[in-house]
Amino acid sequence: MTRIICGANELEDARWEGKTIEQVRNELRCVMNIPDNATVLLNGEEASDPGAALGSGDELEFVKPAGSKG
Amino acid sequence: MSRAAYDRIIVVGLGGIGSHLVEPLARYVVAAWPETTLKLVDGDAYSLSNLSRQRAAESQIGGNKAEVQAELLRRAFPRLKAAAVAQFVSPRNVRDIVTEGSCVLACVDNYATRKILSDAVARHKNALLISGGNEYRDGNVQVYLREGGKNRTSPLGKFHPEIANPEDDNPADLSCEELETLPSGEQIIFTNLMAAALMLNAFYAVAGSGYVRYEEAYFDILDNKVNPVSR
Repeated sequence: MTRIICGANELEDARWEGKTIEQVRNELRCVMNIPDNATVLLNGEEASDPGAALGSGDELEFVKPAGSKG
Repeated sequence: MSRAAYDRIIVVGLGGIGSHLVEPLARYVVAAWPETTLKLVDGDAYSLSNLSRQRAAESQIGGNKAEVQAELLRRAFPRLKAAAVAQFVSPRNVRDIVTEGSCVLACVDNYATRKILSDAVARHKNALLISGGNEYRDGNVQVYLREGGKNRTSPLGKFHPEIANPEDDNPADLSCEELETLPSGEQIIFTNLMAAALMLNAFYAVAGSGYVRYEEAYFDILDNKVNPVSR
């Protein structure tokens, strides 16, 4: 299973295994409202290579910018 | 009655989130930790446009937000140690506001002030910063905990470049005319209330119970979803 997080949205599914970060971003951009400027974390570490493939047990987070108002 | 983990609780920003957060916070503090000082900090004044979301009355328009809320709390809770600082937080005054052993609840509407507060907490051995913000329907709450000179959770800017390198202005650097022309953006009271509630939950979990299981919680009020994230 692979866990994908963006803000309040979260998905857990094995079908993301083997896909690259870029592929996941493109497929889920609208579904999970992934901002273009989101910091990308793979298993808690900043992921600099969008071509990196996801494996079983990986957690990919697109860090949504903090709410700007208060 | 348990001893307070923090001698001073500081609420920065008494607008859409902060004005709703202070009343239940004070209610808890005066019952659980009567020796703790609650300090309210804001350089802004209430205006007519604030009343659709912020806890203030028409008679309080023009009043400094920190002073108005401190007075309301003193009336409701005469035993509460409440103080008001009618200033925006800036690099010039933050050392006086955020001191060793402080718990800070940041309810501000700009990234520049969040960075100032996060950097201030990072200078102390023991301090806690809980920061909340929102957009129209969603938002987040971040928990930055320092214990024994070490980070238990991440500083606000670690995974948030918009906070690490803020492009917006600190209100302390703006004139009254510039402050009046700042776009406030469309907001609704329910999103502010959600942010306030999640900040209080984090406050109770960390300051009241020593329970740290996440460093950020995202929420969306239309879907009624909350997603706590640990990294």
